[in-house]
Amino acid sequence: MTSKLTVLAAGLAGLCLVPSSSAAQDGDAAAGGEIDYNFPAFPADEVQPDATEPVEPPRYSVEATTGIRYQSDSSVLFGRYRGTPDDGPTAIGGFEARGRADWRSDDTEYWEAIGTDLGLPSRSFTGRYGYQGSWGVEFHYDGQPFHWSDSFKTIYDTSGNGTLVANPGTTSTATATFNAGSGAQLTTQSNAWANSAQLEPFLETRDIETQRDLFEGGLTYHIDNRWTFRASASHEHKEGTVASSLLFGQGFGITVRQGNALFSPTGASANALGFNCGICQLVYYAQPVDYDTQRYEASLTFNSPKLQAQLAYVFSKFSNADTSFDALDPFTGLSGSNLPNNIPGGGAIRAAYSLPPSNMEHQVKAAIGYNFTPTTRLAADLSYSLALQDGDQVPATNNPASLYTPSVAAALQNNDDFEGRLLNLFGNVVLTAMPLPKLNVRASYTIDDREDQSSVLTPFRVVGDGIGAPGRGFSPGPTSGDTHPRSFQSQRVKLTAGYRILPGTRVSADYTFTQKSGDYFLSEGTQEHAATGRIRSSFGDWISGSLAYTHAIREPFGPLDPHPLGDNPYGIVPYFQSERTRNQLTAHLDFMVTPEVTVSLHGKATLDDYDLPIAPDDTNPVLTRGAGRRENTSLQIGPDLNYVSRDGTLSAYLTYSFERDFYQSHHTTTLADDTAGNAVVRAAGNDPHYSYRDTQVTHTAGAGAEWQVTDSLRLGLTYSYQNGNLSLETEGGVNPAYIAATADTVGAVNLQNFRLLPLPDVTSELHSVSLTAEYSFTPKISLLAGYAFEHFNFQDYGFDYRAINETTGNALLSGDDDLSYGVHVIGAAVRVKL
Amino acid sequence: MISRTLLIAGLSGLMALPVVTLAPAADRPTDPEDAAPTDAVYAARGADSCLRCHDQPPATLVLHGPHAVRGDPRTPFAQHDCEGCHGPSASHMGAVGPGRMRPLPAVVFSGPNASPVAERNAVCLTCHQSGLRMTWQSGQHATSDTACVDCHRGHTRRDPVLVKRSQPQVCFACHQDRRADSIKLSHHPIREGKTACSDCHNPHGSPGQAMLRENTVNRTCYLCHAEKRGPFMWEHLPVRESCVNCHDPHGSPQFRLLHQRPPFLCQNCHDRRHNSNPFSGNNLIGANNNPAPPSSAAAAAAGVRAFGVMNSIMLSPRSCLNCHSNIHGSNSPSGRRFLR
Repeated sequence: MTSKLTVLAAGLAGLCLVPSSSAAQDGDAAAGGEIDYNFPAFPADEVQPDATEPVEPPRYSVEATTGIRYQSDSSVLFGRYRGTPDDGPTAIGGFEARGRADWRSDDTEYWEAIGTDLGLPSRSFTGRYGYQGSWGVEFHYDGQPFHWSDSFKTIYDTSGNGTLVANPGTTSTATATFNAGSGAQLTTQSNAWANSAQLEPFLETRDIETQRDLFEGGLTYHIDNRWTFRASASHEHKEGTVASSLLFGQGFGITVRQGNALFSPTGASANALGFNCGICQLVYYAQPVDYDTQRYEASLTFNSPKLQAQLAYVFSKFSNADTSFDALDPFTGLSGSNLPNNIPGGGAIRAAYSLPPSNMEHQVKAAIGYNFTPTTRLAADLSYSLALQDGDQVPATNNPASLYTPSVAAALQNNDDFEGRLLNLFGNVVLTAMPLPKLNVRASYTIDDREDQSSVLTPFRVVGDGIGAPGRGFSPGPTSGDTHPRSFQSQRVKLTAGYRILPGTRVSADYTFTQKSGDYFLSEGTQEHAATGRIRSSFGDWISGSLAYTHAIREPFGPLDPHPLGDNPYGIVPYFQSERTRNQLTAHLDFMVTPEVTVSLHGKATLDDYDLPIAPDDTNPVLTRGAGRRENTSLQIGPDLNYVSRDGTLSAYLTYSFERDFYQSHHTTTLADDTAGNAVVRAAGNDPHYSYRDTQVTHTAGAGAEWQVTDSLRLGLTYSYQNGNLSLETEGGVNPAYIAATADTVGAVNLQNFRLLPLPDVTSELHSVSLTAEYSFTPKISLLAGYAFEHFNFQDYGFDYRAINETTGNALLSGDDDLSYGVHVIGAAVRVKL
Repeated sequence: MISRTLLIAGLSGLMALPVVTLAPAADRPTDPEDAAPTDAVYAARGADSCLRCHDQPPATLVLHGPHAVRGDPRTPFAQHDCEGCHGPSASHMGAVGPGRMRPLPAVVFSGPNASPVAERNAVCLTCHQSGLRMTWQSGQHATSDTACVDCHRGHTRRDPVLVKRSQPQVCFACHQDRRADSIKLSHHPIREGKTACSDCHNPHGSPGQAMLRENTVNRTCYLCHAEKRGPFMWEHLPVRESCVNCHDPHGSPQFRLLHQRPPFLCQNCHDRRHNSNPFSGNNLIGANNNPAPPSSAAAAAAGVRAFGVMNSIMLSPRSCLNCHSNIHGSNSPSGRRFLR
């Protein structure tokens, strides 16, 4: 009843469409009449039955595959997305079944069921059923594993639900000793290792992995030939852990800070402001993931040759079961259990850590396209969304010692709830036309507006518990404690004209103007002008190619925006906003050597120059000399060769790609207010400036072939190779001779940290081979066999692969195993067709 | 129920409004180079006429697909069977004299005698111009003379470009650089068959940039990474503006699909006033080449580091994120620096 009423309502509302749709059908029908051809070249007995013959039964096909695979070794990197990190045998299977009414009939029924990777965490299933042109339903399930580490070591027992506690058996003696070595800046390396070595027996290995399970369902209902209603719903559950780290700091007393105002129950003091990042402490842990994401969408679509339109509503909701947690500080004499006993001297438990908050979004989308003439079309899109986030307030501290102080507890009660409210408007209109037979033009305008209406808060926090309070390295500004809702707007105009100068050659030119502005930008905004010239040509069927060149200039405009954090106190020059000149060249060439062999060459080169920063300032050496990214270039080039035999039984390809990405950045050391509190770096004879040159080179090669040897035998081969090398060069920096000359030992120690010495290259190399064979014993039974081998070698200074006790004295790193691997996989399966 | 009915009626009426205003008698949108048939005639026996010769796969596989459903009036087979797409082809079916080439069908979709791209695409766009194809004409594929059949196969049981596992190979035929990206150390599971190009891109054109499925980069990423959507109490500007400020979604030799390795990535914007600026040489984690304590200026000058300070940690893979672990946004009162 409901559906009838709905259809009726829709039909009545769309009644005014009848004239136009009727006209359209008339137009189609006017294409011509019908004729019965004479086929003198064919014998009469070859004439196929006509449509008056009995309709054949529905056609269907069903096939199932089942087998087993065996993996020689364990590797999280090999099994990262496959869901096969472990060695050993695994049963595998799949099926594919589909049916459809005979094409001669008027029946439109169809159905389909497909299952892949059954037996693996990456399994998937798809089912569809319906009557084409009337209605259809579908269901989809997809499992998506992700394995990051199986050798992640941490001192924490749980993965974060509620409170992280130490692993069972952890003794306060060990943690207290560890703390004794790291509570102040360490002066001896051996002591640090000795202290951290005491914790090693209490570290346990955790798997870092997540599993996504996505369920989707949809309904499509064709109201008539032009109107279609569609509704869909999906639910994704993601569960597991991700690698993360916790930071604990050296607090001096209990101090509550709101904005720039100090609130201290024990009286303000210089030390109360202090937070020295040089002696903070770090612990790696397995962060909990327990996400649910729902998405519901309903749309109404109209389609005719002249006009197309769509109106849709989308609701998306993200829910996190764990939006915050507490962690016991292992640097304060932590033992394995019993929370009250883990607060020696107060402070074993600090401020809560926040995890992604739950959020939701409502979105309305409308799109329309209209063909004024066969070659003139207007298309427009409009999207408006409202995103909300009003999760529970994350406690500023759960430190019992802090909360025990009534005045602190009272202050923290004043923290307002955060009410996140974000409006997004996106609009686009584009006109395409062909005013002359050889000339095509296009004009478009796009606006993307993000208006963050979230509440502006100045939350209370406990300096010693919630790191991030103003202090050394975090200079407070007038409103440093305020939250900063990020609102910005982007507008783009693009004009294109193309002219076909020869039957197979077209030249075109683009001009694009983009303007961005927003709150808390360093200037009012940026403007970019980009021009592109392009030629695309083909000569017969043998050769075709294209060449394009783009020149773009981006500049900031307007005055330097008064920054809420002061006059750019951190030297922040966002590279994505700073002045930039871009030159880009792209080329593509296809050459058909013979009808069987095609060779392609493709290339792309980009050069970005970041010129003077946003606001030259003679008093600021950073801004006058330029800071942050100065240049980046990217080059990618490679040939492809493809072969397909005349009879189609053999196809093969060869491919190679060279890629080089280069980044150069310039920086300034400024120790004037750093650890030692002196300004020695800027003294005469010393150079506070230094630069990085980061080069990434990647070679990729591949080959593959598929060969239908006989009607019963099919073979396949693929090989992939990749070699990557990352290198970092440095230049400038603190002069070692100056360090030797200074009499300030502490200052010298810190200056030493600013010396620039070469880093080792990071290298990776991958070989991947797979062989497959399928042999059909009968038309319905086939045997599939496969072998694969992958070898990956990885050298990275970031992964020292030393025992955990050989890391640093005040950080408990995860000590993951080497990611290099060599894995063989062999498998066999039987495929049966019904 | 009544409210839902009114809603549907209202929406339908809203959609109808522009039609009433704008739509004259409909005609088929075609390129001027597409010679419109004037005296078109179609085979009375429909596909049976074609099957006399084209009786083997892949030609016959179209009969297993959604185009060959006579009961659905929207399909070509409900109109003129094969000629619904290939156009009226009387001369192609007629008798051919000895030694003469058989004339081609009105529209040839592939091979050395393929019709002009605009002519071929016009056939597809006759029906497939709504939904995801709404901005086809202004998309980069259309402007680069890409034919629908360059990617799609109508004469097959399952169009490879519509199958997640096989789709990337279709795209890689032209986008070879993306094939290379898909093999890099850090990549989306394209190679493993769990992600397809169309999970992020709409190859038929998009009102936004890079032919993305959603209007912006971030909205596209939020489809799978909704936890990054926020809004957060404390927000990081480059994160809010565009995920690709830091990430390369196609693949990277760096972990986490990052353009560069932290801290060098972060230092593209963040300079000075942080005692973790330069990190190299002796500050490698676990380095033990200088066991003596930096107890004097001379020792420091000799390259002895202050072991245990954060500098060495900055060279671990998480680097800046060791401390700024909530870099995508924080909801903690102490989260201004994304530390909590």
